[in-house]
Amino acid sequence: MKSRSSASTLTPEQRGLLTWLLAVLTIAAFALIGPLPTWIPAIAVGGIMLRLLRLRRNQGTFPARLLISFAIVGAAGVFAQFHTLNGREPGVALLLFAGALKSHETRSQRDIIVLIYLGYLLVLARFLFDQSLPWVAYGLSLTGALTFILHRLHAGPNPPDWKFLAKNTLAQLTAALPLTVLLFAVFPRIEGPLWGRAPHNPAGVTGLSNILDPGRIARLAQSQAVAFRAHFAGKPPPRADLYWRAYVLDRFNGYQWLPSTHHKASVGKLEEKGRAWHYTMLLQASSHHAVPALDIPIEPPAGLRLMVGHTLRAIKPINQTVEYPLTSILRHRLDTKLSAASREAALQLPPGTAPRTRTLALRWKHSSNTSQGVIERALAFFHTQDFYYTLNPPPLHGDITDDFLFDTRKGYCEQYASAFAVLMRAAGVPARIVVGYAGGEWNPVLHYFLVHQANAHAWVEVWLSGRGWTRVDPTAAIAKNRVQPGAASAAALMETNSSFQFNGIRAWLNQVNLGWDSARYFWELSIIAFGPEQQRAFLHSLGLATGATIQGLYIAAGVVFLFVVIGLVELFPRSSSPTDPAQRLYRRWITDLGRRGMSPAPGEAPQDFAERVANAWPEKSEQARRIARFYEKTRYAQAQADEYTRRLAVLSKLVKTFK
Amino acid sequence: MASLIASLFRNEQMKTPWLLRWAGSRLFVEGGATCLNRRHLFILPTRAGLTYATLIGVLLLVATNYNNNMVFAFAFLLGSMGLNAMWQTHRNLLGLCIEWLEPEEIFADRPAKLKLQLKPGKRPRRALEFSWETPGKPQEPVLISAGLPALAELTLPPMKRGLNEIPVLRLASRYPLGIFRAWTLLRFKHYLLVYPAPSKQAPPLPQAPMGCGRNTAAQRITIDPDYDGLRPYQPGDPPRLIAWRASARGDALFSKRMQGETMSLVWLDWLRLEGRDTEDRLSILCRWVLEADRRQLAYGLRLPDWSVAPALGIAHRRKCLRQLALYGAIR
Repeated sequence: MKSRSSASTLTPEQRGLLTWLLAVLTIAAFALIGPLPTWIPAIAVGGIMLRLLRLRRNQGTFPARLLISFAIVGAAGVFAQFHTLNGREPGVALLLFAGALKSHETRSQRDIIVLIYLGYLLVLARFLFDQSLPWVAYGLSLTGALTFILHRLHAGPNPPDWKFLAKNTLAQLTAALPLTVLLFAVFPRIEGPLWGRAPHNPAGVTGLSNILDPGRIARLAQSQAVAFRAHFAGKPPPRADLYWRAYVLDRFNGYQWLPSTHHKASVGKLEEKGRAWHYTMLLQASSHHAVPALDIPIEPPAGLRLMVGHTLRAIKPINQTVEYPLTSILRHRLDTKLSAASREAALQLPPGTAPRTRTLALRWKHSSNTSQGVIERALAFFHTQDFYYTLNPPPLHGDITDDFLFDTRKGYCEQYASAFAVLMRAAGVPARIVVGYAGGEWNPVLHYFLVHQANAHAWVEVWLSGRGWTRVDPTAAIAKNRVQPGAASAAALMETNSSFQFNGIRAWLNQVNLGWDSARYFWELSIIAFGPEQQRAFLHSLGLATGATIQGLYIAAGVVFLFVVIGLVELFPRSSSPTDPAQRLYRRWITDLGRRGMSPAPGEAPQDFAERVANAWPEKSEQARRIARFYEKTRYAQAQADEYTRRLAVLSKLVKTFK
Repeated sequence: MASLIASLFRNEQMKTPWLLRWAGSRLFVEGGATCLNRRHLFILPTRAGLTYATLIGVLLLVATNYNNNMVFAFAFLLGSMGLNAMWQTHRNLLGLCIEWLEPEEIFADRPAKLKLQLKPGKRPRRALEFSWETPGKPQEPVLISAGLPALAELTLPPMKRGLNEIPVLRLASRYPLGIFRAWTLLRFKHYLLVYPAPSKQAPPLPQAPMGCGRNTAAQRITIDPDYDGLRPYQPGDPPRLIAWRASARGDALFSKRMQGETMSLVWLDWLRLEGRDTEDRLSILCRWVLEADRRQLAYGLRLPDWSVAPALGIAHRRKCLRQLALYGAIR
């Protein structure tokens, strides 16, 4: 292959910098392996590595024709993968390929600068998939590295050593912070999206869904991803009441539970009995509409509405971290009267399903007269028979309810809830499934419950005359010795009283965890969820007006203010510190000696003063004389730059070791 | 009327950089030294800076579209760094002191260097870009970093014989991020004396003695009052003859002239070069002066309107070259 232009068009220094730049780009490409199909970052990393290799061997760049054909092939690949070139993933994939190709087309300083800019975009593109604190650390360090390279590229001949430049880069980042904070708080925001449809769930972890089938929640149970945080200003509700409902499912097709089809049904008639609990729900992005709320939510805020079974739905899908002020009541009666249609729906079972289960349920129905009796029989059945609670239940064959209840007897909350609801329906007790979360970790510092995806749970609501829909959690009925360790998160919920008596290292670990989560909570509440609404509220709370023009004026005023401060610092440099480094060192020596009661007379020459010091401290006489000698030499004698630096270093060492 | 219009659109005027026409007077360097203050400095974004601004614009659009606060935050961080780079670039030039040093001999059409003493003051100056503001294609700037007082050696553009204005010098800086360029134009009030280009095909040096009569080899030469008894060091001079004290004043070594060293003498005469044009003659005479000086022949120079008796020495050489440089001009 003919090289059109040799890599040696770059100076050795530029080649060295390009090597570092390519290393940074490789890291940025690696970081995109999670959110993008692996082949895309893998090809990009390969491309960048090839450039590194060719750079080391001082081989030239490829001809433009070849690069253009690579670009076309890359774009075609992206299109084949996503069926579009528009949107988040295809966009980032194209950007990644552009960076890899541009790395093969670096012949001048200008090309390196373009590559650095592409690098900024690639590093920041990672935030489109995850904005949590670890990724912020990643973004900061790689942005710093790119800025360092940009800085070094413009430092000209005889650049200072990398430590000095790194310090300078850090100073640049720090100096940019005040303005960054100002812009972040005040820059006029508008609600996205500006084009295209709203992006998919950013975290990649799907939360709950409105379908319940075996294994769906068990998959979530291993996820330590945060689902939401609920902030209670005062005393938190008792732990036994921590059921967060998201979906109510009342349609069973033999193997799956689905949401109700009659949308026009009323949300339910509620008789409130207990106090209302007010709390703030900080919900992670899920791309779903469901908003989990403490059993059961009332008075939905703007943007939410109540659905059948008193669950909350957002009007727009939750594509970013959002915050809702919610109200719930824990003591209530829901639907004390059940309409015929609702009753029928809550008793529906597909014909022919679960024959053995039906037989058992009918037997219970005949032996106990009340619904309450049937429920107790069922719970006792779960408790006394050898039912196991496990995250990895064996697969179910044939009729899943029968197979589970009479054969495998190993399952997770969803199997128990499903089987229990089928039993109830078969026995003539209206029942439905509620999917949501159970439990939560109380953060005593910041007063909120932290709920992970692992807290996902399914339970049953049965309808009892006079009491309405009543929660029954069949999972809690399993004998404790038959709960598999690790699967305990939802099942251990009932042990409400012992949960905070940790000791030793476990308590400490928990503290660390809570501290870390406090930071994340603050981060997500104040920074990630800071949108146009929050900005308006924030500015109003400061007593400032809002609006694009006035906010622009604030920014202009801030910039002017900062520049005036900088100008003042420049105009009035601190006169007390001499500009000559040698003089500074000598001054420091004098200050040190001053503490021991020796100071030079006005106008006393350094050599004379050193002589006096030598007389006072005979054991230090030689060092004192050398200080004076080196000071005068460094300060007044002509020298080449490296000789000057050497003298300064000697003087610095002498002064610092003079104790 | 036509002449008025013509004078409005005079070519020279069009050649003057717009900046000089606008801010010309305050850019003069008085007395050969200047310290750059705010009135000297101009600053504008570079092309890379405009690209950088576009990058931030793209980031803001993406951040708005995806409601992504971290992309917002980092776009603002990059923006603030860019804005800070404005004063940081400005500061890289502000307070820098530049002193013009008397140049060495400059010959027409020969590469010559102008030396500037850079005094960075309390902070190091990085990547200073020097270039001559000459019409035509801008040349690659010379990059110099001055952590400590440093010497900048700039190759002068080729110049004609005679007195030349120092071309306007452009001093720019894009440090630290290359997104802004601060610059100033330096107009030194000094003139450069440019000697004729030494001819490459000069006839051989006229041999002494020249004919008979009053010019004979035995003639004692009058010693030029400037004559300092020194001659430039030549390879082979014994070290004891080197005039260390005199050599220390400049860059070159000088040797003491030995008593009794034979001195031949030549006359370099304008009239001997009949039939050539003026510049050619001057060029050849210049070559002869250099040649005679190198061979340590006492030489005299005769021009139509000026002459000097044979002598040797730096001062004599300088005097002769000066006359050649200024021939035909007001002296």
